[in-house]
Amino acid sequence: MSPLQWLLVVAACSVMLSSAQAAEVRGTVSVEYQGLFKVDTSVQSYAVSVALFPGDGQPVKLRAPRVEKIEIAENRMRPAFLTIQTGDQVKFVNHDPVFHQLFSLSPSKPLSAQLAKAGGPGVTTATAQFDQPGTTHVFCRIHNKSYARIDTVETPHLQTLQPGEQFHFPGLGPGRWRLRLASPGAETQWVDVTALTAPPARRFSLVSRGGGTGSARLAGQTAVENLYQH
Amino acid sequence: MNIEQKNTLFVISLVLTVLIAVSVASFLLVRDHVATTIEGDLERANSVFIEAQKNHFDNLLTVARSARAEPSLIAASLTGDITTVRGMLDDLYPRPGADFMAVYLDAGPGGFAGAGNKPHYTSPQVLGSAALIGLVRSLAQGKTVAFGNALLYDSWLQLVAIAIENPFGGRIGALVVGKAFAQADLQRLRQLVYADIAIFSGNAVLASSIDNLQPRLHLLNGLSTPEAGRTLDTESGRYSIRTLPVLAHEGSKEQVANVLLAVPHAAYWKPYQVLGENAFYFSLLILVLAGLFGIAISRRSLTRPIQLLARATQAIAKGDLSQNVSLQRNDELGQLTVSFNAMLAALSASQNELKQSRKRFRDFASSSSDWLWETDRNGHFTFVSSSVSDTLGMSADTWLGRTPTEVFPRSNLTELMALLRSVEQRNDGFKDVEIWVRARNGEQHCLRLNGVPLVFDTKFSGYRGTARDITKLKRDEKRMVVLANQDHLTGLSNRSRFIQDLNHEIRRVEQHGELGVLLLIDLDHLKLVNDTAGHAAGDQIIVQVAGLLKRASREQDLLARISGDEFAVAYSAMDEPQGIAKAQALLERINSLKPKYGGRTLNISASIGVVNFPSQGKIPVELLAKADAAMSSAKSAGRNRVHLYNETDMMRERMDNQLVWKDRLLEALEKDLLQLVFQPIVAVAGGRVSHYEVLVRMR
Repeated sequence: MSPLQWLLVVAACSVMLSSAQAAEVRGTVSVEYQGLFKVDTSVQSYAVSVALFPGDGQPVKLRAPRVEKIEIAENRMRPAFLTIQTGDQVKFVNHDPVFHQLFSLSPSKPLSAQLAKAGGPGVTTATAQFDQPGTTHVFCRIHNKSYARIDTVETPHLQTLQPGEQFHFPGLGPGRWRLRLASPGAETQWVDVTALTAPPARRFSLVSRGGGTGSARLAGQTAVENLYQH
Repeated sequence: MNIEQKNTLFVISLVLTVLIAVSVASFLLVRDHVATTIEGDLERANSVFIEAQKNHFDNLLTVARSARAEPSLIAASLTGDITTVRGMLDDLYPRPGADFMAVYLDAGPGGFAGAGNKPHYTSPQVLGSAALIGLVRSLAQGKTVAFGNALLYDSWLQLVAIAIENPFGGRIGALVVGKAFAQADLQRLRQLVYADIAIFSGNAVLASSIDNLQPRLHLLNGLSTPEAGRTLDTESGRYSIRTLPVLAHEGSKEQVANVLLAVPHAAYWKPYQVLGENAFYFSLLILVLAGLFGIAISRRSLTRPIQLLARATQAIAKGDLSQNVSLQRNDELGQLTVSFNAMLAALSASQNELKQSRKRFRDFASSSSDWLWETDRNGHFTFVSSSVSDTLGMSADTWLGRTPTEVFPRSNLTELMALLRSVEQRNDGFKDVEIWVRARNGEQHCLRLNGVPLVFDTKFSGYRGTARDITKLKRDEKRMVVLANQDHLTGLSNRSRFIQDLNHEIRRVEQHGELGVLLLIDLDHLKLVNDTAGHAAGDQIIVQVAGLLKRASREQDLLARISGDEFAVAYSAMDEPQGIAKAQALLERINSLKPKYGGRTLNISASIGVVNFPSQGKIPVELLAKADAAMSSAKSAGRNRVHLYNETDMMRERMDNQLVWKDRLLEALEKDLLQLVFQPIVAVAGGRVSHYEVLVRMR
C-alpha cells in the first residue's frame, strides 16, 4: 500500500470516529501576568498542564500507570514541571558528577532521596510512586535552585503544553467537564466546559502572580540611600 | 625725580611693605595651621579607615554567617565531596555582599571549591594560594573567625573565614567569603575618610583616587614605618601621606598590598587662597586708598609747600627777587616760609645795596683818574675798569685775557710780570710800582701800580689793584726839580742847588787831596742899569754874563746864579794863583762884553771875591759867606776888581752889619718907628683863637 493510500484510510477512519463520538474540548491557554512585580521577560515561561475532569459524573477510565522520568543535569531537574496521573511513578536520574539530596515535604508525597554521583559508586536514581492527587514540590537539599513540581491528577485526560499552544481532548462524552489549568508560575484554575462536537477553540488565561522582576542580587546600599532621597 | 614723585614712591613703598609684611606673616601663620590640620586629618583618616575596615569586615562576617547557615552548604559539606560543594556554591552564589565564596573541606589537598564574580577566583591556583590556605589554617588554631586580605591577580579581596561545623559536632570545613575592594569602594571610602586613598602592591596600582600615581610608586615602596610630615609630589599636586600595610591575615608578615592615605595640600590651601586673594584685593584697595589719601595729605601738607618754596628759590636763582611765598601755616613749614620771606626781603635789600654799591663802584671807577685791574695767576688781565680808555686811549676789553707784556709789546715789563707771577710771595702785595709803557700812539706813559694778591681757599689766584697814569706828575716833578735847582732866567743852577753841588765837590776834592777855588762874581751897579734902562736891560746883561761864564767854564766846573746880580763859580783841581788868574780873565771878558741896549752901549764891570777850598772852609755856606766878604772887600776897594779872601774881610763885614743895625735901631727908637703886631693863632679844629704871636716891626 502506497503512503497515499494509507493517508486516505486514516482520513476515512477519522471521519468515521468523529461522526460516532463528536464531543470534544479544545482551546488555548495563555499565562497572563497580574502580579505586583513587573514581568520579567528573562524568566522562561513554564509549561502549562491541562487536565480534564468529568463534570457530570461521566465515567473516566484511568490508563495504566507509567514511569515518568525527571533527569538531573547541571544541578537542575528537568522537566521542572510534570503532571502525572495518579499511580504513576517518577524516576529521578542523576546525570551530575555530584551528590544530590532530593526531598519533598508536600503532604501528597513526602520524599527524601540521596542520589550518588553519576559514574561513581552508589545509586544514582530514585523512583517514587505518586498515589495521592495533589501537588508535590521536590527540592535538592544541596542545590538551592534545583526544584521540580509534580502535579498528580486523577484523570487520564491531561496534556502538558507551552502557553499559547492548543490543547485538544477528543472523544469525550457530551456534557459538562471541568478543566484544570495549572502552571508553576500561575494560580491553578478550574474551568467548566462543555464538550461539543466541533466546538470552537476556547481561550483560557491563567493569572500569574509570581515570577516578576526580582533580582537575586540586592541593589545593595543604594537601596538604603534611596530611602532618604527625593 | 622731584620731591612729589619721591614722596609718592615713599608712600607706595610703605604701603607695599606693609602689604608684603602682612602677607608674609599671614602666610607663615596659615602654613603652620595647614600643616597641623593636615597631620590631624591624616591621623583621623587613618582611624576612620580602620573603623571603615572594621565595618567592612563586620558586613562580610554577616554575609559569611548567613551563607554558612544555608542548609545546602551544610548538606553539601557533609557529603565530603568537593564537586558537590562546588555545585552547591554555584547555586548559593551570588550572594549579596560577597564577590567570592570558597569552601575548604577538611579533606586534604584539593578539597576546596569556590565561586565568584570573576572566573579566575575559582581557579585552583587562587584557591590553593598560600594567602587563602594560610587564612584557612589560621582557623585551625581554635579561632572561629579569621580575617584576612588577599591579592588575587589585580583584585584586592578582603576575606573572612569561618568554620563549617557538623550539626553533630566538629568542624568539617571552612567557608571563606571575600569582597573585592573596587574603585567604587575606594570612592565611598574616600568620602568617609576625607582623604585620597590608593591601594598598591609593588609597582601596581590596584585602586587609586589619585591620578597617575603609578610613576611615583617607587618613592613609596621603600617606606615602612609611618612618619609624620612625609609628602609626595604628583602631577595633581603635593600630598601629605601615610602608608598602611595590608597583611594577609592576623599575625602574618606577608604584606599583600599597601594602603596610601594622602591629603592633598591644595584642598587645604584653597580656602586660604580664596580668602587670601580676597583679603589681598581688599587690603590692596584699602591700602591704595590709604596711599592716595596719604599722598594727597602729603602733597597738601608737605610736597606742595616745598614745591612752592622750590619754585620761589628757582625764580630767585634766576634773579627774580619779587617772589613772595604766601603760605599760612602754623607748623615748621610755616616757620620756614616766614623765615624764607624774611631772608628774601633781606636778600632783596642786600641786592639793592649791592646794586648801589656796584653802581657806586662803577661810578668811582669810571670817574676816578685811577683805574682798577685784576689778573689771574698767570698775569692775564681778568678785569680792567673802563677809565683806562680815557687814560691810555685803549678800550678796556682789549686788555682782557692778555698779560701786560701782550698789551704793551714795545715796553719792557719783565719786572712787573715777575711780580704778577710771584707765587711764593703772594702774601705780600706791591706798592707804587712804576712802569713806563708806550701807548699805541707812541706816547710814553708812566703808570704807578698797587696790587694785593688774591687768595681763594689758601690758593693764590692772581692780583688785583689800582693803577694810575702819573706821566704828568712825573713831568711836573721833573719840572719842579729843574725849578728848584735852576735859575729860570739864565738856566744856571740856583743858590740851593749850587750849595748842594758845592758840598759834594768839597767832599770829593777833600777825598782826592785836591784844591779848589770858589769865585763870587757881583755885577757892579746893576741896580742903576735896571733903574735907568729897565729890568729887561738888566736881565739881558745877566743873561749875557751867564753865557759868558758858561763858555768860560769846563764841564766839571760848577756855575750858578745865586742872587739877582751875583754868580758863583767853583773850579776844581785849581790852586789859588790859578784861581786869581781865572778871576782876572773873567773880569776882563766881562768888561769887554759891552752889551747894547736901546741904541746905546753899556759898560759893565764886576767885583769878584775869591776863596780857596777846602783850606779856607769846608762848609759851602761858610765858603760862600767868605767869598761874599772877599767880594764886599773888592766893592769897598772901588769895584771892578778881584779880591782874595783873608780873615779881616769877614770881621769888617760883620762890623759893618752891626754898625748899620745899631744906627738904624737907635734912629727907630728916636723916631718911634717900632710898632707891635699881633698875629692870632687859630686852632684848625674849632676855629678858635688860642693865643697870639707878637711881632715887633719897624716902619
